[in-house]
Amino acid sequence: MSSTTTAAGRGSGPPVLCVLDRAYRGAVEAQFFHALYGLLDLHGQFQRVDVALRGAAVTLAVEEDVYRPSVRLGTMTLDTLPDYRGSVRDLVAEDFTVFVDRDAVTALGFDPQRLVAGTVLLDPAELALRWPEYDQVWFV
Amino acid sequence: MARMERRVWDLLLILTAAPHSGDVVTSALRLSQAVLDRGGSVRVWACGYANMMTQDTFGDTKLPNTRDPEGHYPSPSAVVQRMIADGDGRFGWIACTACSEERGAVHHVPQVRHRSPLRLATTIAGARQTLYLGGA
Amino acid sequence: MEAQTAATGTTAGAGAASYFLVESKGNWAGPNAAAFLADAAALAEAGHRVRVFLVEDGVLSAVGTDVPEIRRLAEAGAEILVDDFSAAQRALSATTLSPHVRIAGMDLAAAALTEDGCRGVWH
Repeated sequence: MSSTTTAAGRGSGPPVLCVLDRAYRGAVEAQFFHALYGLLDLHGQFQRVDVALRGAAVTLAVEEDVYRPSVRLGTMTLDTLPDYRGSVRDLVAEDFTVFVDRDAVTALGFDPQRLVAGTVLLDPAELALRWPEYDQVWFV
Repeated sequence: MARMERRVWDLLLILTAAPHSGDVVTSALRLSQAVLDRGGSVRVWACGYANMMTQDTFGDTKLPNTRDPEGHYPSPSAVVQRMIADGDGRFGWIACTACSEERGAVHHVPQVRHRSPLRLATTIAGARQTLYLGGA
Repeated sequence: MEAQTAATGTTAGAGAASYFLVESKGNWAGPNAAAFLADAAALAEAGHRVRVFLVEDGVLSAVGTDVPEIRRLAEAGAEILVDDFSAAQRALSATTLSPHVRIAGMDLAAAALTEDGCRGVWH
């Protein structure tokens, strides 16, 4: 069910804002099963799920062309590590609103033009003002 | 009386941080592989929830990826077992028995050695270099 | 009872050691990374050989052209290395890193940590 859902939020669960401020939690052991996958996989149960990337997690939404999701361990090439940018693109494609914290982007020296297309750059104070639109706010 | 030669490992990683908490397991395995690539030897001493890495309840693969049902995703224990097998005696994994019991993570794959924390200092003495990766 | 102040440590002199210090937390996780980098700088200023390897979120401490902790380390003669894989994960090719750091692979860490007499510490 969830894997074929194409719009963020159509279930009966409450509208949820998911804030992600810690990323990179276990590339080898998590592989596809990282925080953004969880959101993609479960959002069909909810009326609406939106995502806010804050702190160092904004790097998930910065386009780049160096990272290869692969590591060699023994004779095995484990090429199933997380595709961070790809998951953010999937979120946008599946109609999540993906907010990206402007202050963190600026502090880390990124050009906002390099953010994944369709994400929404937001001033920090603006995010909290949007909390009343959601029944739940989760720091994931 | 003949004296027994004691094996000395090049690197001992005391891995106490939990998988999925950060990329510490990834770093530990990448560093291990880099030492193995130089012809060296590595031992991992797993403490705390790092003992989850080698539970035999994983099987060879992770749970199905609903977005890629045909994909093949090795489980953490499969990754460790593969490194042990490919290391040909130069990569070892030790499960701390106290931490395993404390975390209810006592069903390790057979390639893992079980060792009491009372043997930690002895294990450190058997390595030229020890790094403590904290976080338990 | 009042806390006591410890005696000041000695400089390295003839007993200089070689340290390979791994910072994995980074400045976005709180002040502890800066404290560890200050440890590294103190060792370098005391005359020990110090190499700092930034890995995982630790690589974020290298972002920017004028990071005080990195500058102090460089001025003390420490080498500051940034793990290539961790930097790529975090899209750091799209930003500017301190001129005092250089990108390095895990092979360099392996080589350093297997040198005779090198002391490794992981934070």
